[in-house]
Amino acid sequence: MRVLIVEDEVDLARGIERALREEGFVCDLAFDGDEGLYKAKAWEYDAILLDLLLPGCDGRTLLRKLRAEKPTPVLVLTAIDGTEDKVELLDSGADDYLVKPFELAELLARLKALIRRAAHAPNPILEWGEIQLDTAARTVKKGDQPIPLPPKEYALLEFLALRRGSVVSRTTIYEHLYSEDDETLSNVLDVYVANLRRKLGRPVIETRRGEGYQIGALPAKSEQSPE
Amino acid sequence: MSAHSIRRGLLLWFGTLLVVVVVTFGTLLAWRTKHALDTQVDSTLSHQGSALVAALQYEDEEEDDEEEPEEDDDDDDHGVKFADGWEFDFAAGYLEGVAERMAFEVRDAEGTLLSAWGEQPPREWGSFLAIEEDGEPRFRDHGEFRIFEIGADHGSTIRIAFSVAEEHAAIASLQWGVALGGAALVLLGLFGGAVISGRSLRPITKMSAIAGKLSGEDLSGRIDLSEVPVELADLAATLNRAFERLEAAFDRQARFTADASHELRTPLAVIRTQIEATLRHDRKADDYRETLERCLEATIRMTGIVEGMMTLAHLDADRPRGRERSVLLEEVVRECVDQVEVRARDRSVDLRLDLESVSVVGDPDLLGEVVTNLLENGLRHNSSPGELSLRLTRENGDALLTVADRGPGIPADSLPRIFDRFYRVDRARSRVVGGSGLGLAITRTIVEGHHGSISVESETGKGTTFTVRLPVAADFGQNGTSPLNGESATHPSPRSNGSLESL
Repeated sequence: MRVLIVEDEVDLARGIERALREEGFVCDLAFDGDEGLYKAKAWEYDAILLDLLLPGCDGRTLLRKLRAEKPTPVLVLTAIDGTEDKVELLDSGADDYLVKPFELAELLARLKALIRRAAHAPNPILEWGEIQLDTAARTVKKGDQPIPLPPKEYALLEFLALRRGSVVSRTTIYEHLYSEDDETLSNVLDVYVANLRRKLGRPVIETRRGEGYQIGALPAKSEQSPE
Repeated sequence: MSAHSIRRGLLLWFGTLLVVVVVTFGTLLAWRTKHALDTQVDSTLSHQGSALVAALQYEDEEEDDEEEPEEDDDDDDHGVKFADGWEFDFAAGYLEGVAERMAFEVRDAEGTLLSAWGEQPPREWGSFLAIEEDGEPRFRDHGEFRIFEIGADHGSTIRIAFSVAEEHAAIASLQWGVALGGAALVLLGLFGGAVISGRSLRPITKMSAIAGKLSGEDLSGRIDLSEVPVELADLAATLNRAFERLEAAFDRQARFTADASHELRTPLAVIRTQIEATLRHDRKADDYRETLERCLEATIRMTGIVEGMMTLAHLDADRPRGRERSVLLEEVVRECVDQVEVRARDRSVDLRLDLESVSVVGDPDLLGEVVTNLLENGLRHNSSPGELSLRLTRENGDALLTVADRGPGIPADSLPRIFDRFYRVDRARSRVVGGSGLGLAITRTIVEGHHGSISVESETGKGTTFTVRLPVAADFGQNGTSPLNGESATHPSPRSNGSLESL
């Protein structure tokens, strides 16, 4: 999952970035509104964290301009707490907000919920076939067997699982799994896919030649509890 | 305070005036009417009297007619018989024209009744006093009668009584009429006065209703000047201006609180996020150190903000009057320059001083803060290497301190707001170079508290110049105790009690 953090407080942005990275997100940072708007338009982010008071283009303007083009989920970080401001924020296209100083765990939970909602998968546990993926705990099980996955492999699986039934192009995958700072080799994706197939079983990820990858919309296993 | 009612006062005055006018008018009317009636009665009486006298004389001349005078006959034929036996009679014609409300009698000089006539003579005529033939006729009132006495031939006196009961009744009825009418008039007038005064006080009631509705939540109410009568327009305008100032002060206060909250929330968010992110996993010592350093930075920033807010709160609460004295501004500037010299050298900023010896009245610590703030600001927003010039001069009784930097300058649209609390031209840059966003606001508050002014000029790319103007101490030259404290207290500048305004 790739997240854009638009926040002029460098230490705050870096603190959030660190926590998100450790949660398996990839992050881009923008320290002013203009840079933020540019990046938000240029890349496909799974979510944007947006501060309101920004040098350059301020947060509200950024939100308005972004909404004219894209539906990327936006979580606003505001230091202003007044009911009217919150209502105005939500009305002007923000998907959620947090008032500073916020609890990091809440930020992460809201961010994940936002991404799930955007993928029309409100349930934090995704199930298909024998596979069960817990987006909150970031764990994967095959049947009752926990399958430990390295962050990137997990991220790839989650990304495809959230788009179950549709073909996802390699470019899209790269865009969502790597930040602009990451150096990537084009064949690294093939390695991850191969690893996941080895660990979870061959049919879990289908390859569509020339199009990309897909996790088939197999009927979900009936009523299996996570534990 | 409610004992003083404009409306009641107006009514009282109005009512008193009305009563005085009505009573005077009524009295005058009654008196004039009575007088006119009296005059009319008297004129009738004297006319009748003269006629009788003439008739008597006439009869006197015809006295030779022998007639049989009979004592008991007197009343019937109105004959007049004198004591000496001489007698006469009225010609019947004379008496017929006499009104029935009259009665008369003729007495000789001794008071003996010679003749009397009349349908309703008074029961008693009062004591008799004879009048000589050519004596002054007399009028007098006797009960329900007006009595006229006139001297006639042979020492006789004719007395005529005229019943004035009708006149008295007429006057009494007139008096009643006037009294009732007057009372009605007074009541009507008072009622009208009450209505009118209520009506003319209504705009005041309305104004007070508007003022009463103003509260901390809503200060937007204003008196509609088009509805206010001319006499109250000034008051209404004054009130509106007061409301405006109040609303502006409340707005400033609210904005300041919101800004302060915002400014403090941001470093708090940094601290919390840094700590929480670090605590999610076990870290190496260097990671912890870095987190702590960032938290420390944020804490220092918060401290600066809180200190700035406290300074402003103190400045707003009490003017620096208590510690005012004559201060040699040049010395203050030099001390401040000493403090920033090292930092200036670190940033390769050349400090240029051109200081005249000028004294002002004020608190040396606060004036020092003004100079330090301007110097710090000049250092922060300077180019490196750069130049910072300080000039202290006298001009028209003012001490003029200018601090000019060679920094990037301030965009024209930001200039008017630069002294606002928490206003920063460039937040990102301010964070890097420090500053709470309150320094210039504090500076302006102090300068204005010293009856001075501060202004700024800037040219993008060339630098910024701040100019502080302070009134020169009047006793410059005679150092020490002076009447300056008192003087400054009796010469408040328009800004001196504007602590609310500077919020």
